[in-house]
Amino acid sequence: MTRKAAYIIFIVMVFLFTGCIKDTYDMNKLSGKVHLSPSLAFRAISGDITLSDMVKPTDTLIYDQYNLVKLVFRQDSVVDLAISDFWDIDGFPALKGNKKGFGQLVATIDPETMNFEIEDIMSNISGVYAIINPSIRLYYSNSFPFTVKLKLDAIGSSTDKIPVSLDRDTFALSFTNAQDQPIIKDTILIHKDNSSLPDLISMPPEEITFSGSAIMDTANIFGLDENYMTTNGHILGDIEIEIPLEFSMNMQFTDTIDNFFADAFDPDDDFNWDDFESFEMVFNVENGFPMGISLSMVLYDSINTPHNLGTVDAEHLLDPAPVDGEGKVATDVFASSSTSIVFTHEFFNSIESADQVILIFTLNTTDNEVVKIYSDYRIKFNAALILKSDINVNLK
Amino acid sequence: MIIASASAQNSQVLYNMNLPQNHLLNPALRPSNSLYIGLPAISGINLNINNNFVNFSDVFMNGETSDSIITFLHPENEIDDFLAKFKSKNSLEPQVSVQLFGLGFSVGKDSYVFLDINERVEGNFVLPGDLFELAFKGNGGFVGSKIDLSSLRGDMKYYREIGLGFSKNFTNKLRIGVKGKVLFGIAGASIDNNSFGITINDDYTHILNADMDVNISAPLTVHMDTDQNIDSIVFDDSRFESGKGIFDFFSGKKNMGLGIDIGATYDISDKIMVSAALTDIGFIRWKKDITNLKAENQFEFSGLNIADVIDGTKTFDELGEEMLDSLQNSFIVSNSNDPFTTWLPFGVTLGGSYSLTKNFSLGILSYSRIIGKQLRESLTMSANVNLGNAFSTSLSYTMANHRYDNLGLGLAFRPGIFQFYFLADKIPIMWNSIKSENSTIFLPTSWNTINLRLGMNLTFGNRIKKKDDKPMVTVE
Repeated sequence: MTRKAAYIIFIVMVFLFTGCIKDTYDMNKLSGKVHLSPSLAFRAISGDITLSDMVKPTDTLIYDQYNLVKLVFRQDSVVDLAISDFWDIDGFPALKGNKKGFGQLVATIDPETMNFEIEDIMSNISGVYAIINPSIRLYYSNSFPFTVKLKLDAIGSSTDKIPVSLDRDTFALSFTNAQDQPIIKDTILIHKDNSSLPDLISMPPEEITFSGSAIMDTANIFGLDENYMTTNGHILGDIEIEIPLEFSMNMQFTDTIDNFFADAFDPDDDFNWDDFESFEMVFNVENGFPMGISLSMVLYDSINTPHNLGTVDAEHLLDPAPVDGEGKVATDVFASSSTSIVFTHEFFNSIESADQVILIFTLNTTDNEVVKIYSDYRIKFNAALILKSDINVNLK
Repeated sequence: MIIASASAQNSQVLYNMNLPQNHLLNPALRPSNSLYIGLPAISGINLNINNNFVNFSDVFMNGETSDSIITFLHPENEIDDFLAKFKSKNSLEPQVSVQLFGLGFSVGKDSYVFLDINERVEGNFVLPGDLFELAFKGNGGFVGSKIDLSSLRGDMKYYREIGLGFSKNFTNKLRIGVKGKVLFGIAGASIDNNSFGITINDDYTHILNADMDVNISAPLTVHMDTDQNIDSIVFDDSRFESGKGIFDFFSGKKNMGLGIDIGATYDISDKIMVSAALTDIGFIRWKKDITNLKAENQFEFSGLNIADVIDGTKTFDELGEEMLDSLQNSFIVSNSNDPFTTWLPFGVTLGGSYSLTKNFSLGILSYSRIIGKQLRESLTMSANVNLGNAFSTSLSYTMANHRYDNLGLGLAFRPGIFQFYFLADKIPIMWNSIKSENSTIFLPTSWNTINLRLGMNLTFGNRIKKKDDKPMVTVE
């Protein structure tokens, strides 16, 4: 029996050893195709910054003592009037000794233009915006001992818009007794209550042309024996336009640029847009600015039956922070928003067909009302990237 | 204690066979020959490879839409199906043992003395399932949870074992054997993982924490830079340019250890025997060519803080470099040369056999292998035939590795003084034919367990002799 058992076991084992071929694999036909679709998610950037961290004050952009942000534009010698502008200088010796004066003398202020170089930007902007409280300061010096009334004109002009005038009434310059104080310096403030300056600034003007006239009344009001009009008489005035960032806005900025997606990958790169199934950017923002931003990006084919090929929207990229009755955001008050910008496979497939990308930014102040911008406003943000790839390669 | 679903097989078939090598599993066991000599390498080569996660057919498969062979990465194949085969802990255990010398002889009526010198290479690697998912699918699926890599560990030892043992009947039913071993460590490395993981929060911030020790005994030199980061690891091959250098390395005399095997058999009756053994209880103290690396800390990545880029004080490149430096510096890698100890993975064997006849028996064997905190278990049932010295065979069925198709076979036969044997705890029943260029090879369909032991012994004598006494008186 034992031998029989041994034989049986042996035969069974031989049978098992010769076994069964379950599958045949012809490795000569091994396919080299590989498909991988890993998903990567990570926080890419973060930040907690104030406006003063982002933008340093300059001559043009300043922060006042309350941290209110202001734009300042300065033009020197806008008003530059000498006696020769009022009177034929050759006749000057005849002026001396005349106690009665020489009547009214009129001079013209030569036009002086300030160009703000915003033509390119303004052509892309539409919507409603209003600058609330701009001002112009005329810093002048006057060495004429007579009453001088200045009519200062400022015309703001912009492409395709009706020019807007300053509408400032004539104003008198300070003057002094030439014997005691040969020259006097003073300032004239032009603001929303005495002019149409807000309308002018809110165009906004691509350029402002200053001009005007001055009327000098040469009556000898000081009762002197002789008049003191000399060849040294001079009115010199510098203009400083100050625009505090106090405004309301609901506008769109639209620009069409070359399709930068198409240049993202070199043709020789191992990767291209076909290797991405989707790409998502998640923005989490705590916005301490009273301004909101939305973004839309459109792939555009301008050559072949022009049409949109794909759109990516970020409707609440930033939500504006709430403001108080003065238009200011209180300390540590934020508007929270979380936005995903998703680029789909269909979008990627359209990249090569598009020659242009249309960018549409919508900017608005809180409730489209008037707000003020302070340099200590803070924004906290982080952005995560979620990439789902769709890699297909052939290793053979 | 972690119960790992991996094979714990250790030539279970050998246990009930009439081979001198069975004392390796239980020092109380002895063969029927009176004397055996094991010759270098010829007498015993043992190969074990166990893994609990992947087979050939998991990696390569026939295409559905064409006659081509595709890999698991082919577009036709779902990567999720491949990843479903991985466990939370995936183990790979390669083991090779070569007998350099063996000697066993009977002393007196029932004592048996044995000596063997074995060269052993053992590895044990545990790979977390999350690691594979991270590698093939990225981290997107882990947002809001943790990539748990705490089970990542590895251990590799190359050592020489010189054992001297002895077994004897203490009663007419009880036999006890013991073998003491001196161990010589030649090279070793171990990764001790106290914690390792990456937490990905809902806001996509990552927190990496690690507390790991790597101990190495090998001719390596780790160069550190001024920031205490690993700059390079160089293998000192000049050690092997002289005979003395080679001898010093392979002698292992600076890395010594001790081990013990204890076993017993008990005859409950003429037909029923039970046995038990504790094997490979031992350690090696590694003192030579030591490198200890310890990494411990936590690193949080919450994105590049671009405030400095916005205010112009830094560039993006500088930020990126700072982040990488931060990552490197956050983990303190200390490089020391302190001796360390590794323990052998010991085994607990419980067996029973029932002899249907003098030469035919049925057996049951439980083998538990404890590797650190891991317990690996297998259960074997066998039918065994031992025809004296001439022929021994065993057919076994083993449950292990969450697999129930492990059919094993042992064959040994002895023409003259030469005893040839071949054992496999798992006979591949199903095979795959692999054609490549001009050749065809056959591979088992299942790679979870490869266990082979083969060799040739010189055996002399037969202590079990039939009595040929004739009766003194015949009755007609």
